[in-house]
Amino acid sequence: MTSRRTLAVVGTPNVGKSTLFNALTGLRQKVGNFPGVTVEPLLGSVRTSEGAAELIDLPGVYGLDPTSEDERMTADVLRGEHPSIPRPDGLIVVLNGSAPEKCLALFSSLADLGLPTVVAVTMVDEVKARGGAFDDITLHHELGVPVVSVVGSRGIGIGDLLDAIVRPTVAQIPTPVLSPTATPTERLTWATALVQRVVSPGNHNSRSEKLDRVLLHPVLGTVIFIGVMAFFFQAIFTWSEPLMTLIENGVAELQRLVADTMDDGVVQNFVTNALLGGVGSVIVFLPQILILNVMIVVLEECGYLARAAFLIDRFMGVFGLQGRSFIPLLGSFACAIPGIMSARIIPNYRDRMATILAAPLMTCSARLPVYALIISAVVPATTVWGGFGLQGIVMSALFVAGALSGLLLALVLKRTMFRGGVVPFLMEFPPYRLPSLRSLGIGVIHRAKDFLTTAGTVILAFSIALWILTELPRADVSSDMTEIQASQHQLEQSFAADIGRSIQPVFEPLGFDWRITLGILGSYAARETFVGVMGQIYAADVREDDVSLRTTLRSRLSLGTGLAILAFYVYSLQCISTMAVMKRETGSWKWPTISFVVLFVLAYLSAFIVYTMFS
Amino acid sequence: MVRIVEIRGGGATERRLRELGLAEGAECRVVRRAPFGGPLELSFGSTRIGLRLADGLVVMVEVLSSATIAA
Repeated sequence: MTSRRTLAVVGTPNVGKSTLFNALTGLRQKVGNFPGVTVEPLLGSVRTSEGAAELIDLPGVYGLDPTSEDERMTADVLRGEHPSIPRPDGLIVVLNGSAPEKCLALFSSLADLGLPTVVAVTMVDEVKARGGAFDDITLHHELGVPVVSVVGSRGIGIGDLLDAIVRPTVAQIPTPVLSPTATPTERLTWATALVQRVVSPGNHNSRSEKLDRVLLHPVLGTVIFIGVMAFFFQAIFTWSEPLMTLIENGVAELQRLVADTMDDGVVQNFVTNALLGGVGSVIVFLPQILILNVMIVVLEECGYLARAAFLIDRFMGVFGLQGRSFIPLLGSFACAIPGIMSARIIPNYRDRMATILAAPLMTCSARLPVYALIISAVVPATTVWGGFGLQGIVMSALFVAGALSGLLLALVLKRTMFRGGVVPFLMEFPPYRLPSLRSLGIGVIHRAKDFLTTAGTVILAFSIALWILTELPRADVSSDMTEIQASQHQLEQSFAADIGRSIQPVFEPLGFDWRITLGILGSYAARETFVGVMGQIYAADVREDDVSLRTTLRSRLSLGTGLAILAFYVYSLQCISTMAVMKRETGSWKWPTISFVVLFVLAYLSAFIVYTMFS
Repeated sequence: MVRIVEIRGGGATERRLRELGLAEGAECRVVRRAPFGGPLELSFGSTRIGLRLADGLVVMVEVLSSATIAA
C-alpha cells in the first residue's frame, strides 16, 4: 500500500469534472457531455509542491442514494464500503458555476462524510461571458472550505487548486450544513437560497433551447436523427476509402521493395508474408476505425447523444428497453467492451442485462475490416439510387441486421428471463457544447494505440505462428514450377492446411474452404485477424498479380461464400475480451457462455441460409 | 406552465426527480413530447430533463397557464 494521499474528484453529472481531472493529471481520458460517461473510476497522479498525490475520478452523482451501478460505486467508495477501491483521504468537489444548485445540494450530503474538502468552481468563464458574477469568497465563508475557480480546458486556476489542497491556509473539514436525514428537497432549498447570495446569473443563454426547437422537433428532429445515423454509417465507409487505398499502396510498395532488395530466402519470405502480409493488411483498416470513433466522441461531447436517447426512447420501448440503452448500444459500434461497461448508467437490473447481452451484436470496429474486405471482394462497386454506393448499402445492411437482431434478442430476454416493467426513462439534457479538439485528439490517439497494439501483439503473434505453420513441413518443389505454383504447392502441403482441412467439414455446409476456416479460427484471437490470415494465405497471389488483397479475393470468392462469411460475422461472438468484461459486469461466466453458444448457433444458421440462397 | 402538487410511487425515479429539483410546489414547463408518444421534455429552474411517464409514477400538477402540448 502506498502512503500517498488519495483524493476523489466528485460532482454531479456534466459539471466539467473529467476536464478538470485531465487538467490536473494530464492523464489521457475521455470527457463526455452526457450523464454517466465515466464508467470506470480513473486513477491519475498529480505532482504538487508537497509531493505526489493520487486522484480518483468517480462517476457523477446527485447524492449518496444511488439509482444506478456507477452511482453505487461512487457512494460506496466515498463511504469506504467499496470492496476494491480504498476510501479517499480527501475530496475535490466540482461545482458548475453556471448552475450550482444541484452541486451544492450534493456538497451538503458530502459534508456529512467529514472528509477534507476543496471546492473547484468550473464554468465561471461562461457566467462572466453572460454578464454575471460568481462570489467565491462568500461561498468560501458559507461552506467553510477552500473555494477555487478553475477553467479546466485552459488550465486556469489549477495551480491555486493544488495549493489549496496541499497547503491549506484554512480549514478543509466542512461542518455539516444540514441534518444527515435532510431530504433532497430540503438540500435543494438550502442550496437555492445560498446560490442567490453567491451568483448573479447574467443574461439567460437560450442557445440550447433554440437548437432543441429544431433538433427535438417531432418531425424535423426525427428526420435529422435518421439523417445523422445514415451519415454516421455512410461516412465510415466512404470517407475512409482514400486513406485506406493510401495505406494499402504503401504496404504493397514495401512488399515490392523488400522483394527487390532482399535476397530470396527465409528472411525475405518472413518479412513479406508474415509481417507485411499479416499485420500490414490489418493496419489498412485504421482510418475506418478512427473515423467511427471520432464520430461517436463528437456525438457524445456536443450533447446530442442525450437528445438521441430521448428521441429513440419510444422505439427502444418496442424492444422492452428504454432510451438510455441507446448509449451503450451505440458505443458498442466502436467496441462492445466500453459499450458493455457504460450499460452501468441503466438504473434497472433487467434492462441492464438485456442491453449487455444485445451489445455484442452491434457491429464493432473489429468486424469492420472483415466486412470491408469481403464486401469489396464480392459486391460490385456500382452506384444505385442516385449516389449511394452499393458497397456502402451492403455495409449499412450488415449494421442494421446486427442492430435489429440485438434488439430482438433483448426483446426475447425481456419477455422471458428478464421479465418486468420498464423503468421510466429519465435523463438530464446537458447544454450543447462544441466538442473540444483536445478530447477528440485524446480519444483518437487512444483508439489508434489500442488498435495498433492489437495489430502489434495478438495479430503479429498469430501471423508468425501462421507463417511457421504454412512454411512447415517443407514441400518438395520441382524446378519446372513457377514461383507462385511453388508457394501454392507449399501451402497445400503445410500444417496450416492440415488444421484448416481437419476442421473444415464443420463449415462445409456454409461453403467455407479450409482457408476461410483457418481465418475463422484465427478470429477467435481477434476478429480482424481474419484479414491478416487472408493476407498471408494469398500473399503470393497478390504479389504475382501485382494487385491488392481485395482485388485478389475478388476472383477467389464466390458470392454465396462471401455473403455467408458476412452473415457469420454479424452474429458470432469471437472476442475473448468482450466475454471477460461480460463476466465482470454480470458477475458470472453463465452469461458470456450462454451468449457465446446462442450467437454461434445464430451465426452458423444464418450463414447456412445465406449460402444456400446465393449459390 | 404547471405547478407540481404531488409526486408519488416512482421509487428511484421519484427520488431522482426530487434530487433534480422537481418536487411539490416547483413550477415546471412541459416543453415538448418526443415523437410517437415518447417521453416528455420538462424544464424547471436551470434543469432540462427527458422523462417517460410510465406505470407507477404519479405526478399531479396544477395548470398555471395553458400549454400547447397535451401531456
